[in-house]
Amino acid sequence: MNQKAFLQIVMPFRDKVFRLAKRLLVSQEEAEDATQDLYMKLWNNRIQLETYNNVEAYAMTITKNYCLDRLKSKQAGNLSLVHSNFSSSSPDLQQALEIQDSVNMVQDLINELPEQQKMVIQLRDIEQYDYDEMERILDMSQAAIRTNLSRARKSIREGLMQKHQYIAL
Amino acid sequence: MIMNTESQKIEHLIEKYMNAETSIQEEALLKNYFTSDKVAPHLNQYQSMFIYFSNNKVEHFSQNLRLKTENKRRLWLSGIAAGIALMIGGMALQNYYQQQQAEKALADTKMALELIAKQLNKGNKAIQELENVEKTKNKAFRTELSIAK
Repeated sequence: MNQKAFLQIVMPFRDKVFRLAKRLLVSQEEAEDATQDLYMKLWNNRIQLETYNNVEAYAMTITKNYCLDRLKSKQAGNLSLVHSNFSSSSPDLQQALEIQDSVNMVQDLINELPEQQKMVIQLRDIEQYDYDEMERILDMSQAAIRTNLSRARKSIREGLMQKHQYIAL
Repeated sequence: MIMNTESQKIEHLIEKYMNAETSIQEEALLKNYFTSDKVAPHLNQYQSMFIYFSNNKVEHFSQNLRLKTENKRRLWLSGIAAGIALMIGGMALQNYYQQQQAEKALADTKMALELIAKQLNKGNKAIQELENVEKTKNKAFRTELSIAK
């Protein structure tokens, strides 16, 4: 397989891989390393890639496993929380600031979720994978996926509601 | 009291969504609603979630892909080490030469030149040996590929 054919297969999902890594590892740098590592593995394995019917799911699975291993290892202590700012679409400034604040809080709330819940949120709510794809990537049953998804979404809602109550005081 | 049928529909979907019972299309519908300007006030709390999700899909990987093996990195480091050794060697020689300059003559110059040649050979030999190891060990060929986003 030449470079061009390889890239045609692997380039389309590089952002999804990166975003999953960043969801789990939080740090931009760590996520970039994870992505580079994945592509090196895919390249070294390029001859077998031709025989796979879903390279994307394979790549996401490798990334997931790599990240979970990284989190278990000692280096996990160096991974730091990173805040990102997102813009809201509301024209009213006051309301825009409040929404901005809440949007930032969603990031923190997701960071506090257990790994499995983080992953299902990432794959479903952000990357919009269907349940079959998620089953393959995560090696979880659909029932387990839905349970985790439900819990995660409720946790986020709960967290946001608490925040609003606090502000109301 | 007339209830807004759209917000009723959304409330119903949110209920399903919280139980992870929505389809991808239904979730897309929710996302469109909550990222619009017309969110019913009592549904405000869900807005930040859906804004966050849609913002995050935009984040992308912007580095160049490096499709190279570990071996190349080690060789590069060894090359640097050899280079540093040469530099240090060269600096030490220079000091020596300056010290001896006032007292000794041509013999010392000759000795200094021989030492330099020896260092160069050592460095070259080290690099050559590493290259040979690299060639025989490495089955997958090294490729450095730059892709601009």
